[in-house]
Amino acid sequence: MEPLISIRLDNPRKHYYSGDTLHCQHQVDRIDPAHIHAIEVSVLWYTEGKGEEDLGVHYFERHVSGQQTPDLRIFKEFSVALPMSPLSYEGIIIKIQWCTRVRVFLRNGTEHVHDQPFLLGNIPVAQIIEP
Amino acid sequence: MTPSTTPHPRFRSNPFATRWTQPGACPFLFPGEMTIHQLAIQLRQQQGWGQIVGPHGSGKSTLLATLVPELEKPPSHIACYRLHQGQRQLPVSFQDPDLQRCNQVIVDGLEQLSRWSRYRLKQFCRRTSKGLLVTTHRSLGLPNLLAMQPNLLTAQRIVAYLQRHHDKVISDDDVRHYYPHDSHNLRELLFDLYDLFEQRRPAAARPAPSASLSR
Repeated sequence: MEPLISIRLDNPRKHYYSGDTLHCQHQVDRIDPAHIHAIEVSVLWYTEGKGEEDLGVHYFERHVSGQQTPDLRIFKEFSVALPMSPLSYEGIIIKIQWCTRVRVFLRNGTEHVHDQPFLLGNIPVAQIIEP
Repeated sequence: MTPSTTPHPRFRSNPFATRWTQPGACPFLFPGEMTIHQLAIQLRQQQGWGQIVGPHGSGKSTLLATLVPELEKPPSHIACYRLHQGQRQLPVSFQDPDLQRCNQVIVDGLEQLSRWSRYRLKQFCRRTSKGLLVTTHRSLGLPNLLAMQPNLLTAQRIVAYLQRHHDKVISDDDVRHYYPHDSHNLRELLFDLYDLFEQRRPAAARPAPSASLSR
């Protein structure tokens, strides 16, 4: 059974502006803590389109299971100030998406990922203009 | 690994974007009854030697990405290399620890290597009793594992899979219309369908552009 990864952002509309502080809470459940090797949490943007995907990591933290942190499932939270750019963009050829991502690495070599997307900025959605 | 997501209400993904169609994101859909498990067994019966042959955009790399997790099961240890246009040599030497340690070598795009490099790779794998699985545009003398023969029906199944979480903006008739009957290049087809999806995306479903760029 896959672990259940929960991510909660402080803004229920999941809409932020440059300079805002994003507050995120995350938790892993439905898995034996002994099976978890590490957890990575990041705030990042990525492009989406017909070409190769590009991405940039704005915030990153990694927790490895050990004597100090035997149970990585426990509820954790962090806050981060959001940057000036790039802003979320829904274009025709390319789109830029921001998200908070939690990756869970298990001792058997598999990994599980969950994203919580959010909007940064307020760029209008691109429209195709008919000639 | 492609992450599971809960899309933002405003942000609608295009199911034909590279993010969703690239090898590893979209599973290989076999045209018949064959399964990935059976293909892995067939490769083992061939002592790990095999070639996946097919033209550009026929799904060779997608098949490989689907097959690799099956081949990675212990006690197998694989070394996988993806070659790009004009790459005439392996990106590592034969003394590379990963290459030395593995028992299955996988090369995506073997035809890129020079004849001499291909010969040396085959000799290395034979001498060290490693399997050699490759993808290639033409037969390069290895035992056949699968010959890729994409067709319209396969393309329609792929499109249905990609749109499984969306409204069916692209129909089977669209796929028939855009299908490259001469090249059978599915990558080219998916590029065209990306554009068609954007054109057809209902204007009503898009939120009205904000009047101001500020908050």
